[in-house]
Amino acid sequence: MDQQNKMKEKFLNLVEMHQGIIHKILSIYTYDKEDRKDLLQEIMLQLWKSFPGFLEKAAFSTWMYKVALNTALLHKRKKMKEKYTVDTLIETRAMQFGIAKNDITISLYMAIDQLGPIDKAIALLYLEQKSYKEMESILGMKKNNIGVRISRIKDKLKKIFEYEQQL
Amino acid sequence: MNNNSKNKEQEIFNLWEKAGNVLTNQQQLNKEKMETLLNKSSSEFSTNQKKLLKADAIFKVALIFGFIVIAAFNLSNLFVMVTALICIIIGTFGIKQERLMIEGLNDLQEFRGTIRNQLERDIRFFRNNLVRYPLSLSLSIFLFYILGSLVYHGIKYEAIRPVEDLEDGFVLISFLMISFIFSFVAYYPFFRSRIKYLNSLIKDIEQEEKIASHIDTEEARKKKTSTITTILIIVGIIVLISLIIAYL
Repeated sequence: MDQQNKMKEKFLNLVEMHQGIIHKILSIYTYDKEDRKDLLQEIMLQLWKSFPGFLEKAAFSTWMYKVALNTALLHKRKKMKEKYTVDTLIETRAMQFGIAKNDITISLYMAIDQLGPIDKAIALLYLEQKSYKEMESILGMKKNNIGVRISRIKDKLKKIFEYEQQL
Repeated sequence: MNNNSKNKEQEIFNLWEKAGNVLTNQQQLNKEKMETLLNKSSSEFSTNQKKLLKADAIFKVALIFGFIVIAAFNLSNLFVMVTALICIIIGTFGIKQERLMIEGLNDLQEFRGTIRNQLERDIRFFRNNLVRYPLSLSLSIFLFYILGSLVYHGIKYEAIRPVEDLEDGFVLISFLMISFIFSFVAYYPFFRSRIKYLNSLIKDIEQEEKIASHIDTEEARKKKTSTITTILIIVGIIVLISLIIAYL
């Protein structure tokens, strides 16, 4: 097996092991199958292109968050507000997870849907229970800045989450 | 944080984890699927720009070849030789600029540092090439117009002569400039809109930084004030005790 094949094999193994990260990113940055498919492909290509620069001393998952989130932020997505009403979004999410429309998971995703692209990235890392240090190394934002943002996001999520549950 | 909100937070974490597991199980990526994805081509902005620049560079090579052929057939015609030489130089300059931009885009596509670093690198690249990009692409239409005019004259009059009539010259140059400007204006928004979007992301990242730095300054000020107050209280107590001792 030549060097390139060995590297590809290693890459595929690592991605397969950490694929949950990709699925979670896709779930908050896309709203339909087509968009999800496009972003998945872009993330895979971007990960592969950047893989030679991956430093083994850093955790693969941290590096994967960086590349995949950056790709999601730059991905030209369809404008959610123009295409979806709240009802269709709930329906789409319910179908995506195979759950009832009033399931609490839908409320969580609906709350995240209301956030801006950077806040979504911070929310994702917060929900993944990443430390401030790790968030700093992924986003490049200062720890105190992240702290301020998280407390605001938490408030926002709490409000929307509670409101959605009341509906 | 009280226990109730801690529990609620943990409940949300569990919910998120559960939903993530559902998604992973549903859309399981195996090696075969991943290989297929890697073999497809990207539709991402930088890749599309690279394709456009490569296609344009090939077009410029074809135009340069066209000028060489025209010059070869008109070796004794100084006007044609000078025009062809200038156009070849302009074309080569355009290709060089496009090659530099393709290299820059290649470099940009390899992720380095943090998300913020990467966004800043992107902005820097698109800003630096904001004029270079439409300029080098518009040169093709400029060269194409000149080559077309030379070929037309060559075929129609069997000889290419410099424009003698002032009005003809004015019309020719005007249309040449108009086509160039139109092309420039058409390509200019490509990088402009990209910069605008990247700027909005960077601004979003920096949004709280000022507030956070203000909080830092406030905290430092509070710390300084409390340190001075503590020192003054200690000094005051010492002075008071000394005075009491002295009077006693």
